[in-house]
Amino acid sequence: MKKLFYLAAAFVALLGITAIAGDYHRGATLVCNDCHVMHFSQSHSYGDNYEPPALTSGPNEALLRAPVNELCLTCHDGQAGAPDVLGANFNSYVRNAGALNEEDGSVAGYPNTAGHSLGYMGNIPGSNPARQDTLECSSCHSVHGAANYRNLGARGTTFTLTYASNANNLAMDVFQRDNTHMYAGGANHYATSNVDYNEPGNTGSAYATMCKSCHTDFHGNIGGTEYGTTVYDADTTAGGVRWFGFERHPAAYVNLNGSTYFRAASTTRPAAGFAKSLYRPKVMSASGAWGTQGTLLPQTANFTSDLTPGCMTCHKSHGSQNPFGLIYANGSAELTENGNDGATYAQMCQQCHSMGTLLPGQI
Amino acid sequence: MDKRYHSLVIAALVLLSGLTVVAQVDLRTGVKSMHRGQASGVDARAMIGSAAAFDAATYHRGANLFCSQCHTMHASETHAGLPSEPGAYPRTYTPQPKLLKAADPVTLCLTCHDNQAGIPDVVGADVNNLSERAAGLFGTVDMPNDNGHKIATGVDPNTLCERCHTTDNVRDASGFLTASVSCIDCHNPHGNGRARNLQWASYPGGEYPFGYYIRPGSSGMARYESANIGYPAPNGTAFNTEGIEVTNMCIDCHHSIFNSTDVDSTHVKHPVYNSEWAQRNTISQGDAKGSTVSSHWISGTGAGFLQTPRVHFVVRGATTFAAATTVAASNGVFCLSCHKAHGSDRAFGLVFSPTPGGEGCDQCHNKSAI
Repeated sequence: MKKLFYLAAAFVALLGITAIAGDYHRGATLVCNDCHVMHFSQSHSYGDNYEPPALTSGPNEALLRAPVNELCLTCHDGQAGAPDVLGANFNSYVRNAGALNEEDGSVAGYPNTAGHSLGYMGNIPGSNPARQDTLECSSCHSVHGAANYRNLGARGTTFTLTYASNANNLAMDVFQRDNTHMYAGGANHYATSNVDYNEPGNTGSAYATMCKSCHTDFHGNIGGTEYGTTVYDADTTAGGVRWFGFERHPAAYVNLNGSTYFRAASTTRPAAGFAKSLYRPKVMSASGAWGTQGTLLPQTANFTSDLTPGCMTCHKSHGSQNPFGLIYANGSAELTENGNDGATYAQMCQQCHSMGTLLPGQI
Repeated sequence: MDKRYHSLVIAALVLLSGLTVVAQVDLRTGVKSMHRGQASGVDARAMIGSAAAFDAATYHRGANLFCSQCHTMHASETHAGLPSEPGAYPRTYTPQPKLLKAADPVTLCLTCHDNQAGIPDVVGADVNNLSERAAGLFGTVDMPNDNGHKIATGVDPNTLCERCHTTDNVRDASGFLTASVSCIDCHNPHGNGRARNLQWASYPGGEYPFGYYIRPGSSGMARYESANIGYPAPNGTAFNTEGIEVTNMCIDCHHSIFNSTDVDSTHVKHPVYNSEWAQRNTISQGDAKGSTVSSHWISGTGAGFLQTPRVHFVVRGATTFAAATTVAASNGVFCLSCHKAHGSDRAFGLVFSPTPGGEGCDQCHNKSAI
């Protein structure tokens, strides 16, 4: 009897963990009738005070209430209580993933050049071999839930993207500070300020590996065909170590060091490097040493940090209002979804790289 | 002549030449700057907007420095990132070091700077139809060029001296005959607050502000018209703040041309204005001996001017375009008096033809009229 009790208790506990620790659309929050309708007819609710949207286009494959993108957007666009992923933000937080757009260019202020475009059917950029697919929400998210962060799971591939909630675990890929979901009143669950990136292994990036599932050539191994023949130079005068020869921008492996970490200002050159700014882009850290936004990191020249740029350093996962979903920031203000007002493409690069930087007041 | 006197003369010549007197110099060691100082303390970019400011480059700099014009992060672009990136999309690139969009900086630069309307055209015929490009033109890339600098791919900007000199004997400069240049030898691709983003090839970043005035009101391609450029030279030696004549950058490779050592007060090489080495000249300096006729230079007519517009000159102490283009006996002769920086359609990149006799040269010397 006791054994049975303990088993039952464990089962209930597991249910609770699934319901609390995961994102929505998983476990206890995977509500079938949110997305499916059995007979493409529904005259009333399930008695849960949730009045579903009217059925429009259909019936649809897999008994979906609507085509995939349209279905997801019935909740995830312009609705309270659910993260808004398309175009302007219905909610008030700065979205960590930014905003999608539509391939037909119909989203005001979010052209189809500004990130992932729902309905895009062309060649996937960087895919090797080149392939086409229709971009749908389910291209990147497992619609029935997954153990990965944000239910991420690319169609046709498997990968692992772990996350820690409330308390960080450096062995996990992502750290989300507050796991209180929006449906439970957590207003910042999907906010930029709520998420940071660990670096459990310094020989790769789970996030970049996920992106690579479509954008094949955009990430790879040091010395591989994607990044080119790179050379490692333990030049201590440059702050420890330097990599040379990259042919594509790395999304893992390299640490910000030397002038990409910090170079002090002089009479002829401004301060440069990641640590020069009060507000910094997202990077990975094996030790969780991202610092606090609004507070300078140690201004130590020729310092080797464990901070590593990743895809999310320059891009919003969904997109932004800038080309390629880029984050144009110059480090002077808190990050918005686009970076910060008035910042340019060059200033985005100059958050780490010093080329072409100007002294204050120069033009 | 007494052998001892011979030795003294030779020693004096060597000392005056400014060259380090050693039996052999190994180029693989030591600082290789060809200059005797460097800009420090004051950045001329801070002078922009003041009355004394030279005209600095306005493109590939500051707000007009667009990383994506030359670099591609992932060697793939489904669409343009900026309106200033016209052309067909999607594009893919062969991945290159430094994430460049082309295998070589010269190839990359010339995707815009050759035969693209509205962009300075530096190779061959001018698509913008300027009357005369201030810097002239290069010949075909990778081909020998008797009419100016040979621009070529595969040039390593980190091995400047070795293009002319052998690595273990600086006195062997036989490589000069076939040496090539890359755009980024002379121009800083990220901008440096100097005229035309010019830099010292032997010591990028150390260059003084280069004296350069563009005719007020000039805009667009007119800023690259030869007649719209004035060339000042510093009055004193405070090069940090006064700047220096733009041809100071030519020293980096053509230093032997600047060694204008006289014998018995007679030039053995054509004088080249060189403030840094205290070798300023004026056209009037030859009046006494009749080697130059400054009054003829001032007149602007007759021998030397028959087919050749007045050549460029430097004006010491000029602080405006007007002053830098004022003709006077005190005007100085510098590289650009006779040569185009890139090249021309004449031998040695000259701005005038050697025939009919006296053209160009006689603007100062007035010999063919004798």
